[in-house]
Amino acid sequence: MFSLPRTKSFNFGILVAVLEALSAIALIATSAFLISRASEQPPILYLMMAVVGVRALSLGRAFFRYVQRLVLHDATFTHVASIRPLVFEKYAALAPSKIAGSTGEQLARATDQVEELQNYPIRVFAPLVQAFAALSGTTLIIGIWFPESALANLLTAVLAFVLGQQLSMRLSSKSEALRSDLISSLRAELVEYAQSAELIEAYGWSARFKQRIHQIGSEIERLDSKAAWGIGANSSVFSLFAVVAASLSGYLAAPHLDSAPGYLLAVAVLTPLALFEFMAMAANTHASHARYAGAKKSLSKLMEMPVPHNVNLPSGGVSIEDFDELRASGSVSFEDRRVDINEFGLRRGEFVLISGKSGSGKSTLGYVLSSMYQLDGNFEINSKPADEFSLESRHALIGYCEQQAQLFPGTLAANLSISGIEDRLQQQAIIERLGLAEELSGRGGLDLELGGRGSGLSGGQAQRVAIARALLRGAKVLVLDEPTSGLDWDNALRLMRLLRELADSGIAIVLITHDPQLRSFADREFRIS
Amino acid sequence: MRPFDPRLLKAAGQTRQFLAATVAIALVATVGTLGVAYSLTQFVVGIFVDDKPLDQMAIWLVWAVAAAALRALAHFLGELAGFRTARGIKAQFRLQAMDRIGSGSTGQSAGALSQLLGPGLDAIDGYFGKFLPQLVFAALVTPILIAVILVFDPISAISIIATLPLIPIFMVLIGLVTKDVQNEQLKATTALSAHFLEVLQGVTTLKIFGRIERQLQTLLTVANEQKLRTMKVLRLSFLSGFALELAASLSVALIAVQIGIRLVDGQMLLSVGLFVLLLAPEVYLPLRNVGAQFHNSQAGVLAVGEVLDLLEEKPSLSSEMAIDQGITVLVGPSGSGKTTRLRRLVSPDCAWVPQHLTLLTGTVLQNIAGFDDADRVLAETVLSEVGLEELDLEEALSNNLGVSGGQAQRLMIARALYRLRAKGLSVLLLDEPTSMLDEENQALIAKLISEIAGQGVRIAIATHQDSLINIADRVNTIEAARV
Repeated sequence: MFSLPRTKSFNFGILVAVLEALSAIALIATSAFLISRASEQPPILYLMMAVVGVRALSLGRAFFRYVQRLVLHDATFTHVASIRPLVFEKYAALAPSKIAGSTGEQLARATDQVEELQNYPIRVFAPLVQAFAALSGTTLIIGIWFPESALANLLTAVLAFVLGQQLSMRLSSKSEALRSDLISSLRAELVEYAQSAELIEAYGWSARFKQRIHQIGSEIERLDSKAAWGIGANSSVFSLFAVVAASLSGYLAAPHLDSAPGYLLAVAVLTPLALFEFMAMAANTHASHARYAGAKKSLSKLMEMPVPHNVNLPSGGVSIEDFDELRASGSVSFEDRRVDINEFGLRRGEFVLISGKSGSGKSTLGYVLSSMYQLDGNFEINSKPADEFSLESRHALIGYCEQQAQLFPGTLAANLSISGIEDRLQQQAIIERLGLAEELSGRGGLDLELGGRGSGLSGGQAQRVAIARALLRGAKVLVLDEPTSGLDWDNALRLMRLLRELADSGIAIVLITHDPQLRSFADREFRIS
Repeated sequence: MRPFDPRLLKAAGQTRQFLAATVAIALVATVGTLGVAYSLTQFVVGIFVDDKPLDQMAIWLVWAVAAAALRALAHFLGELAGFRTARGIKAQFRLQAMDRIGSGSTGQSAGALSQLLGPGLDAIDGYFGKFLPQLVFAALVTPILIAVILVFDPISAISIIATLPLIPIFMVLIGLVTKDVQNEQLKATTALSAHFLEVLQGVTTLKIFGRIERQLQTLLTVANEQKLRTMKVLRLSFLSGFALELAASLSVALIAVQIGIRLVDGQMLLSVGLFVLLLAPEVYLPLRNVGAQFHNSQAGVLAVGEVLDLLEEKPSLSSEMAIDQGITVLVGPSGSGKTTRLRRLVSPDCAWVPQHLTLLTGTVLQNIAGFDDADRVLAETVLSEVGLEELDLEEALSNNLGVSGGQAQRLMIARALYRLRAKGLSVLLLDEPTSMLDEENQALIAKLISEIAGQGVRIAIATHQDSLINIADRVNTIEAARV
């Protein structure tokens, strides 16, 4: 799935790449033939073919190169574009389990990995095919008259290729993983230092950070200095082997000049020189291949990851419209831990605060209530098993707001439309109810453009947009996970008052928080341990 | 974009030595190239034209291989020198940049800085190891080879000289056209990745709202639009590669043809013709390599430029200002410069609580007392003073893990108190120290600050909360910043 695009246009690109390699080889062979033969001063008519051939091949070479690069890139981009939805679909199937809830940096890496896939078709496969084509062409051209020369040339090329690959592989693959680990920890240390540099300097604690960063830097440099030998040797080995092959080819061809025309000696000597340009490119594919292989490995791992049973929710057909009460009791099992939920209950318009230590399972309970995790046990809505109701209507009934409000680039209206309600009057009504309309009226109201993750809004405003979205969809219950983290007290207070008002108007509120300061706003507290 | 930042010569002394070494290496490599072409020509001509025996001519093949080995060695040493220089410069830049970051705000996010000083600096490897040597080669090897050809065969030399300028001119022209489009494309590619990242981050929300199917379609549409834009750019930027290849291979072809015609007419010897034919591609090779490496080098130039910009940036100077006895409160609308005022007062002789939540990765104890010897008893005392008795000194923390915002704020106050007591300092600066605390905790901290002031510590607080304004001995109001 992650290797080569299986399309006609990709195959066509590879064909053109082969033509490019063959033109390059034919060009130098024809040039050598042309001037060698010319020195025998035959009638010029004998040379006209070669003259035309040399010109055509030189044009062809550049032209084929241009076309193959365009076609191969186009085909590869299309290929990579088809993989993004697959990865996203997998993440969606896994959500909200640990992998789908990865940190921003992990997700950024997954994004990069999809991009890395284009390395293989363009930077690994195509150069290898070209080298093979060039090698075949050279062997054929020289081999017709001088089989021994052709064989020597073939062996030298293969030897150079293996040597070049070994050099870069031995020096990179072993240290590649170690190096990328070191770079990661270097980055982590740098982030830590840069984030808190003023404080660290003001408290006189900088020596420790600088020393650590310097130490990691030196380790990376030590690895790099070893690798530099390989990289340097790899790029110079081919120019040496090219001349070795040319010399061998000439040496072995010379004795056959009784039977073969003398002017072919120049062809036997010069043709290998062009071949080794392609061999060098082919042997230099290792770094690209390593990046591709790394990306392929982790993406395959992701795609093969079984979807845990607890995010696979059964869905009945009946729709549920109204909310009286719910009860949840049971457990959710993960690979490494189990979260027990003891008799959680919620009634219409009730405001319940869920507290507990980090890792105690507060968020898990939130996901259970909003039908993202399946509870092993008993989960009833309006005194009926929740599974009897359709998943869609349960999601609409019990809205969920993530810790960091998930807003997308686009207008405020577009973000609210995710609820399925695109009617601007209804949208306007809800943002007025939440106090957003007034605050944003000078900035375009519903037409305000939001950046990534709702940038342009304050943390409190972003949370209210997420609440608005859930309410628009018809939520009678709101589950909020740490909505006040990062808010100052004034804004936290404001949000709490709003939630209290919503509860008093009949919307049940489930507030997950580890801030004991918020207790006074809830009707009761449910501790999870 | 410039291929070389002249500030490098000044900022990194190694660069000068490296360039000097590369010039010497380029000269040796040129000797090797000439040797290969000359020896191979002598061999072919000796056997084919002069009918000399193979064992007498084979020595020329040995010379050819020896010359090739010399050239390979020169290239090898050149790259090695380049990577070595790059390593030195990276280490130097990293240390200098850290000193710069520590000396005052840089206006760049921690993420951007760590990207620049971590993986970003790696772009210097390719720049020094691959690009700069080729640039020197292009400046040296190409003219020398042309001069040699000029001596042996002026006609070919003239046709090379005539085609050669076409390459840079064509490149510049295409470069001018593609530059804007290329930036556009970079933006498009970044936007595509960013979009993908956004939807991955929002996957839970999208799932709850039943939007997965629709998003799959959007992903394809967006990718297709970006592909069309990218291909438009690639068509142009591959054109520059096309121009290079075409100029190089076509002029070699033309030289071969006109040499061939002169040979037929008997106006030329094969020994000259073959020699020139072998040298002609080598004239273009460094230029083609510069072209091939140009794209990669840009990242290196960019990284060098960014680091140099960072190092040249002057940190805002901290000025010593007198702080009066008792408690001084700075008030004013947000953005009026309260934080900047307070920041200017920070010196080694004071304890400071910054505005942003700043917890370091480490234990509670390390966050209070630093990473060397700690006074556990004092640490326990300050923790209980800020009402955090429940925290365990050994509990692990990081910037957004472990404690709530309110707890983190009080922990930061405890950290300042520890420093105040351990070092016997007499100045305490607090920037919005209770913004995340409820009334009860605000009152606790206000009382604590009053007590500390009573012990003779001079205190300055930036705040907008009444609980702290009420305990002030004087209130300085800062007007909104003048624009």
